[in-house]
Amino acid sequence: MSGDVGLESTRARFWVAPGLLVLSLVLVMSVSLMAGPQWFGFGKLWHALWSPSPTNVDDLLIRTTRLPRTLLAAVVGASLGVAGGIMQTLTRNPLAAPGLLGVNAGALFVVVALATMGGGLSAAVANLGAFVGAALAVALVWSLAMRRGPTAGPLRLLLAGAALTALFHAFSQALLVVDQQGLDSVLFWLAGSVAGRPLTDTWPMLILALVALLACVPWLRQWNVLAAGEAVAVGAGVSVRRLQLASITLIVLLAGASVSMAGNIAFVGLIVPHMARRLSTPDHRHWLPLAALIGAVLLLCADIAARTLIPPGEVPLGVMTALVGAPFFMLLVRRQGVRHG
Amino acid sequence: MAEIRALRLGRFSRAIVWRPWWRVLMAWVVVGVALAGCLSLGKIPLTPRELLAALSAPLSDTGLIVWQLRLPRTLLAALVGGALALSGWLLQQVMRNPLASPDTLGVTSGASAAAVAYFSLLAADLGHAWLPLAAAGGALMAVGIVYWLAWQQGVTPLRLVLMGIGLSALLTAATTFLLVSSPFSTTLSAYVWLTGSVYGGNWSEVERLSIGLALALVAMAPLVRYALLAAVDDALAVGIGVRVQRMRGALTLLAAVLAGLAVAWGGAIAFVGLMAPHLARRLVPVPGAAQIVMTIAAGATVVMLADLVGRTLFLPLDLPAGIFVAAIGAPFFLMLLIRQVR
Repeated sequence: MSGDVGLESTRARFWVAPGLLVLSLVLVMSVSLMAGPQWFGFGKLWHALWSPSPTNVDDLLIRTTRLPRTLLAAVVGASLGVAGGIMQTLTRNPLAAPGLLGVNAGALFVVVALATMGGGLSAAVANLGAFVGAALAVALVWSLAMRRGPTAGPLRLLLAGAALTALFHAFSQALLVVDQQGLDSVLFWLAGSVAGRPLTDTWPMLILALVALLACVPWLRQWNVLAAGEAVAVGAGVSVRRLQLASITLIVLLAGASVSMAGNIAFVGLIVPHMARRLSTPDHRHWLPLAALIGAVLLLCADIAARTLIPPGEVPLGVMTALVGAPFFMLLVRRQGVRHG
Repeated sequence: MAEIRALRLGRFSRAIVWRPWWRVLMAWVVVGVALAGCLSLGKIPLTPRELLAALSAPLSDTGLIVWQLRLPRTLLAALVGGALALSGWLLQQVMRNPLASPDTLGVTSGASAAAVAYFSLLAADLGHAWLPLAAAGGALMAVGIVYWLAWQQGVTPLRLVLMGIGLSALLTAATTFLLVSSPFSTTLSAYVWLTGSVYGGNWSEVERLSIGLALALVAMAPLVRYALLAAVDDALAVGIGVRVQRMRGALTLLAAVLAGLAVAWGGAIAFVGLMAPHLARRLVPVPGAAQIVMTIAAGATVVMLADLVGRTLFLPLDLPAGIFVAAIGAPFFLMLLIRQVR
């Protein structure tokens, strides 16, 4: 009897976190639509979303600036959270994340290179460039740090990532110093932001990110096996090479799409998986969806804070997340520090 | 000639291995050649004979160019490069990791954040005179914070590096914020500084930097033997009688001072601290005084040549030396990573 009760209560608890998260996602999204230099009430919001009038300025403001921004923040947050989660599973390193491993820097470098070489920078070219850069960085980090397998230790991977970041930054800086006009046009990418990106520019990336998020679903089980160790996974009949390839592809898609939409946003991919695992079970089918939700909520919160903290100005979103995320990273290192000696 | 000579002066005695010093001598010949190259090349190129004439007549036209423009700038580049290289060597020795450098430990990003803050908040009132002080202070503060955060009943190299990465990210974010929020002209000058250049180096800068470095070197002299021991396992070092934590702290601080001074006058030149010790180790494989001297020579040469390329190859542009150091250093670094994996 008591066992049943226990089971019931775990099952109930199991749904509490996702339920609350969905609820808070809805809440935060609506706050994100309402908040800003001008505060809109709920009635106005409802009106703007479902029965907009083309002449009403408030409706227009909500639909053309706040809505794209909110959608973008939610999708980027979810993508980064999931990308970080996959990365941590794949490398079996709790400190892995796209930003720390140089993916952002790689994407930025290619964008900067395109911006300084080609004069103007169209949205499509920038998007594509960010992808190429992200893929390049992931490939480099992977080949440098993982060739001996994940047992090589967390330090090698992170150092490789830090080094790649330094490298790409150095190149970007060089290009920007030579072509100083380019600096103004890419500062947005350097700082990371979801502001002022109309949906007409970003919709392909939005859809791509959503598709990539869905494409994670068939692999969830295999990630569980991989988390138990590569040897175990091979023994259980998982084709590890294929799984790794699929994971890397997904990471590139998710992280690349995120960077191309919002620029350099740090630390979301690092923090979110940890929160998700704490709120849920070690089963990927449970915590990875949570990671998507938490990522979305977190980035939305960060964006709301970014645009309300210092009116009329704005703190860049990437700076905001780094200010919160870096201390978290250090805390994580301290916690784990004893074990790694 | 005997392989090893002993030097005895009363109670002081030292074994000297002669072989590497020949290579060190050759390296300093290379430094000299690079220096001569830097002095004679530029918008107005000089033949060796003209260079000699200019050097012996400081008040002639070419003499003014060489003495007042090229020589201080080149010396500044050499000092900055040497200091960064030495700092990198110390850190790699203490961290027992060939990838450690002032860049990964947060020294450079601390200096950068402080410098950019100075540019955007204080430069309008105070001018650029106090910039080096701000940068050096930022570097020291960053290392202090990293050390404090990494301290858990002592410090391990791994935790230091990880904390350095974390703090670097935080400081980079702060730097970006300052860059974005300040007026565009400030952003540009700060950005050039961040890339690292010795543009407009003059004698008073050379003087101040060399005094600072000389003091740091004096402080380093009694610690060198511990730097050589730092590569040994902790337990063994304790067994020999080294106070490991204290030495680690002192050496890291020293490395931070060296890098902070260099960055203060040369800007955030990346990769020298990483690259030069490796070059030196290739030429002088045994850690010791010869390797240290070689490291300094390598760092000085790299930055001098990078500055030379930056100011001559793209005339009339005068590009920051940091670009070219990165252009050589980055591929080198990748090679290093790949080799380390094998």
